[in-house]
Amino acid sequence: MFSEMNKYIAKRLVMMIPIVLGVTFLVFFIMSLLPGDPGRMILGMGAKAEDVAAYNHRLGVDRPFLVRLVSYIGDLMHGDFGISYRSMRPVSEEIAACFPYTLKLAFAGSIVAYLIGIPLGLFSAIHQNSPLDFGGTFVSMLLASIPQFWLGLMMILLFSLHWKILPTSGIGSFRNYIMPVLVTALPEAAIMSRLTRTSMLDCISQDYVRTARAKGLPRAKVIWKHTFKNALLPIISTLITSFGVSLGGTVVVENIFSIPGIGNLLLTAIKAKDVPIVMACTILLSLIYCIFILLADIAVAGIDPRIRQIYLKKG
Amino acid sequence: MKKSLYLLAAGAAALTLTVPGMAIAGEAAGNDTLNVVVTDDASQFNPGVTNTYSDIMSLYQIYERLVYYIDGEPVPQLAESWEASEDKLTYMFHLRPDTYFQNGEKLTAEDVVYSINRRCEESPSTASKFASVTALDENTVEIKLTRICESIFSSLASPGMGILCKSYCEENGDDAFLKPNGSGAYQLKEWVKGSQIQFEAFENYGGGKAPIEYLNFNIITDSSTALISLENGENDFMLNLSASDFALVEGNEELTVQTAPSHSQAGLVLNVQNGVTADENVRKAIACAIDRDAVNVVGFDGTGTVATGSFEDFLYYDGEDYTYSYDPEKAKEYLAASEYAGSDITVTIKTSDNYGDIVPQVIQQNLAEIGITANIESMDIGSQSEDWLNGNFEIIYQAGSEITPDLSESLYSAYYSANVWSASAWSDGRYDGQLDAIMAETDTQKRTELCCSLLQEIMATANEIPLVVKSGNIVYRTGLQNTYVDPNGMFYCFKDFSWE
Repeated sequence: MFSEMNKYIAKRLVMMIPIVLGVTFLVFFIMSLLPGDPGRMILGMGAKAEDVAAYNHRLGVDRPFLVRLVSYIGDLMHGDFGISYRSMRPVSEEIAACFPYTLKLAFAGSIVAYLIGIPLGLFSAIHQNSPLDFGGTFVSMLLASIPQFWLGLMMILLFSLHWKILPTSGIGSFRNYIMPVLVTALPEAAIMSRLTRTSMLDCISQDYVRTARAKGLPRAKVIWKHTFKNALLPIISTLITSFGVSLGGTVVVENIFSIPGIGNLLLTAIKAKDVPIVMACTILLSLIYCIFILLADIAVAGIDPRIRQIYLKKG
Repeated sequence: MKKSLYLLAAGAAALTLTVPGMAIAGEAAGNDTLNVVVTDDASQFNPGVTNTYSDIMSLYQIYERLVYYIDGEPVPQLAESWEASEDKLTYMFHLRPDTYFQNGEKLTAEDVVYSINRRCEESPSTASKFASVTALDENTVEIKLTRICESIFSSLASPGMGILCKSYCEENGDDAFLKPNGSGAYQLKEWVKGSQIQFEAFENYGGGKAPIEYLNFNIITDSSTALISLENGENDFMLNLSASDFALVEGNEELTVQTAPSHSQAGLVLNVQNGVTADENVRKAIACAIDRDAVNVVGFDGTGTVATGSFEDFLYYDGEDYTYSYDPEKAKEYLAASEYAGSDITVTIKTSDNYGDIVPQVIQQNLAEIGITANIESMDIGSQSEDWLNGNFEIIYQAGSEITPDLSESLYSAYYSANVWSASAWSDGRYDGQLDAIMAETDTQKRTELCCSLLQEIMATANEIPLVVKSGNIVYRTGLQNTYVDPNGMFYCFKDFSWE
């Protein structure tokens, strides 16, 4: 059975290659359609045409599209993401410097989101249609609909300017991460809470839960052992994929709190038309996303034998 | 047990947040530190790479140049003095003796030659000015020019001309620009990429050790967050505050706002080669239709001054003879005299997200008053630049900065037929004769007179419509001394700054 599962995982891993190549082509193509050459954007309007031409030649962007694409994919196969147009340093170095911050932020944000969202959803489901449930629903909808940049700025105004207890930005200490983590976590917690509530309510209405109750089992045991355990499946799946999404979705938070992560790097690179950085970030994020979807599938298959059988048949 | 653990964790979190001793990270550490907000990170510390504000500002602390500029005049930095030959084609620079790099090596004329030659290899337009650079002795450098070029001082003062240590660069290759070694007032202490650039005062700086020991560039990309960090005391110095944020800091006694006219001017560029704006009367009508006072008030909260000179030259020519002041009736007369009299005229104003569309909206309203329909097309700066370069525009709105302090040079590069790069100038060589005469003139005063006369002639064609000279500004913690507002908004060296 495990060899069947390994075969399935290997197949999924191989399937990632065309996905990544497709993403590479698509982003490369879109970037090539953007107006303005990098030399002009970097050197500015005041730069002489010959300086711009020399800069473009140095970057290799004056070559035809297909030549650049083939050369890029060839380099990619050797793990070479190229040289950043802006810094003239290897892209891999730039990404390696930024990735730990994004990872830290996404990880902490996800943990906080689970710690807030899952209990809130559980609480709402257990007290369905009570004022507490309506309150939980209201808070969740509020958190899900507040734009992150607004939430971030409001927190800065309160905690940094008014109360002066937290720094506005930076990465110097644990305290620098409190606001960014909360801003990352709260909308995610809202989604997690709604999902947990729905999933719990689905399970609560199942026959086996009714049977457990009829058998006279204690309420806590019915909830934890029979309901929550079964409601966990979609939660775990979302939990894993949402972490993958978080890794690529911290652009706004990183920008507001000046965290030098992948999101900030990507944003700056897009503005400067720094194609190698944009390409590398996009490929990396799509790869991460694919991996986390696979992990979610594996986790669900590991927990639920019914789903495992479906995967094995497909495999 | 679990409950007590939760309580303990909550207590610890509350303590972390509230203990007064745990100061906000980056908070001003006292009179030996200056915390500066910057909006972007450095690329590296290479005079040949000046992509960001942080690149330029860092280079100004780490490296020295032969000269720098104060009030539009070159003043000594590494070069104590200099003299020019009669034909103005040869310059002799005498270096400040006993100048050392931050690694302890002595700075010599060879280092200057190496640095200038290196820059020329990177920039063909710079190279075209220099015929040769020679070290005559340990402290004397001779520079020969290919043509009379008064902008040579501006080239030598640019961040790209920072003087490098030849042996250090040859030994360390590209790493020499990650651990830079200059002769400037500050040396790099640590670079936390994307977050902070830390400097400390260079003990043996030739111009005397800087009064402030530690200098931090704190990178904050969001402008609102940056301003709050200044208000709450995390940072001490910020440049280029937007006009709309002025009111927020003006009432704050802990902060001081300093303003001065900048070298940045907002204005319109008109296509003289194609479309309706190729008609001189249409251009003149547009020039007379615009209420520049309104542009200043609406677009810049009244912080700028109404501009009269053209883009290239407004610094050196006050445009007192500029004839196109706000006069809608005269605008209508020009329109009636144009080949489009009686027909509907529609123009497109292209602006970029860097410059915004508030000013174009004022102009749109002004033009509607004389019967011209103006559409506004907002795009990214790259697309706007591309359209400008390719002549794919009728009117372009821009608010750029002019840093070439040489009138003849900028006129020559913009209007000499072989150099014309934009459809806002003519490629039929109509000004070539006058420009040849200007470039051959060795007497500075006569040269300036010729330039002003030509400029007046060009401006009369309304190929460019000056709007507002923007105001430059800095905001700093009250008590900081010897501050100045750089007209270009980025050439700041903190070596003379001190705390009260």
